[in-house]
Amino acid sequence: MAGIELRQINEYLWEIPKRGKMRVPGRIYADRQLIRKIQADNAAAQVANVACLPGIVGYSLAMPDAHWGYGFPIGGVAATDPDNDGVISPGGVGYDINCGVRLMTTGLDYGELRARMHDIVNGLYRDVPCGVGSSGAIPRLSPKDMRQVLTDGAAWAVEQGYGRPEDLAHTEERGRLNGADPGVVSDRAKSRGEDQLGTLGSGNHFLELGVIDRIVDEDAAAAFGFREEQVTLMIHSGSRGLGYQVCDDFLQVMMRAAARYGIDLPDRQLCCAPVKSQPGRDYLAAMAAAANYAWANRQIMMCLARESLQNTLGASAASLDMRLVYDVCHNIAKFEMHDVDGERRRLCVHRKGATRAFPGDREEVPAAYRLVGQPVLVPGDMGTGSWICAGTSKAMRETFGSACHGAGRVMSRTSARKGENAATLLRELEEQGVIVMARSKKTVTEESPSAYKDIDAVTAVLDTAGIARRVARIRPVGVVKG
Amino acid sequence: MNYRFLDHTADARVECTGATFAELLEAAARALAAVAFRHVANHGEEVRRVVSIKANGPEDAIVRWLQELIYLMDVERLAPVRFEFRQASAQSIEAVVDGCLYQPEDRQDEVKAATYHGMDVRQTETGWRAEVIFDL
Repeated sequence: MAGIELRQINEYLWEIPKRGKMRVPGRIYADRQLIRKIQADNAAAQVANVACLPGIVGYSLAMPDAHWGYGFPIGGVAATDPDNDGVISPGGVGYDINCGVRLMTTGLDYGELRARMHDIVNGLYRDVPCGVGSSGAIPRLSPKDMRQVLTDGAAWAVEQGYGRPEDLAHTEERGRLNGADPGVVSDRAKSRGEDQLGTLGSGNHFLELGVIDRIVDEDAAAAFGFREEQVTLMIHSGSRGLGYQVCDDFLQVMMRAAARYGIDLPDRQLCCAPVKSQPGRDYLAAMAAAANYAWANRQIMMCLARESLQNTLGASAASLDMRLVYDVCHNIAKFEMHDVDGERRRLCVHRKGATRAFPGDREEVPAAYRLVGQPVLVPGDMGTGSWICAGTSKAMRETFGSACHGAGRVMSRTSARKGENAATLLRELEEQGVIVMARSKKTVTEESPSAYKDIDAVTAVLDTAGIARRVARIRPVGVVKG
Repeated sequence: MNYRFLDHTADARVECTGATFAELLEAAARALAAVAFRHVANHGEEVRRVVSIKANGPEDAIVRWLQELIYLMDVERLAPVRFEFRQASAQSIEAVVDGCLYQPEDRQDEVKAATYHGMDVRQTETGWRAEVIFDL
């Protein structure tokens, strides 16, 4: 759809009126500067396309970090009603199923580590496998192990000795989506994943040591276990080759299914099937399996990182005191209860490059966060930092309890590479107090801060809109990239 | 037979051309290799694989072909170097792919998939042209 009309609702919210084949209006959360980028990128047109999906409820939504994706924009949220021919669309989840972020705190202050940052980052770079083509630090999965990983997710990892049972309480879905069926995951997908468990991957995946720089919500920060100058660790990764293959496998299935079910789509990559159809059920079961793989992956990497830090620092587990604050997924589709026109309905909520942001009174939120809301992890780029926010009731009312997932790209990889020299960038980052170790110089320049939207601007929109409340800002001090 | 990279915000977008459909497929494969590898990895153990694909048209054929190569790269650590097509049409591809086993340091970008997004495959005066986006 060319020339998407946008109607401004208020300083942070824009509406795409229902036109043509759109079943609902679109809504984009953005300030004046961000909306221009979203329009220029064609992401606004994609929001309008998503609004054409059968069974979509409320609005086709986009978060302030939205940018162009495959079918769905990245930063897109769409909820469908399975009882009203609502569909499930793999493009609304993405190739990297359950790409997500987890945040850990430690008992250390930055001042204690500062002099040893090179050793620490080198250690993490060595001990947590990263980069394309790298194998995991754990043995290749047997078919039996693979089935258990796909069924049990993070719980399997804990049973193998990676972490503690209490980590699961601080993981979205307790690190395990019900309904996973390894039988609908192709052998090809399993082959791609059997040697990659416990690996970071490449591209925009990272492992980052940070420091709590600024606290703006004292109560939530206390609940999350934050204090200023505290050292944190963040891991961004997903389901690796297994997830990518599941997505590709089911895009084939869904393209045929969309035709069979007579679903007329403005973009082939929105291909979908009714949630209640066989292809729909099969995709959801495979997606859940891939999601579980990703949770096992992040659980294992957290433990590898914890061991690495203990070894480098000569610290005991007790003195390092690494605790999982929360683990969120930002490429997923889940069944959730939401209020729609005064009625409680079970909806299929697609979040593609978007994060759940539930208030504390939802049963899905851990008991420790009952009074403050679910932690919403919003990583920025390696140069500037991240915000940790908290979910709100307003998010439930307006965005199916969703917020953005990160800063989002503004510049192509080609442009970013042309504009930057890796060695210069690394030196500049080190001068700013950020030590970066990366397998690929190309990744460094492609991931340069200038290629990303401003995390402060993006989270300011969330905060002003009331859909996620800022709690604390983290500045990066050490980054490992594949 | 040729390929060149076009601009894209997050991923790799490439334009491929070929006098025949087989040449188009080879151009796409070489573009994939250019994204996935720092250099033509030609120092490892030589490997030969035969790829057989059934497809529903030119776009499907290209994506399925590239996905097959991505699988071989990921699982068998194959860096593809030479291609010999026994059959190359929008409905059926059979190709002998020669390459070598690569080392992790040979790799450049991780390619999640070849996508259908923005695909544009057409016959031209000089043969075939296609645009493909790789999700990185």
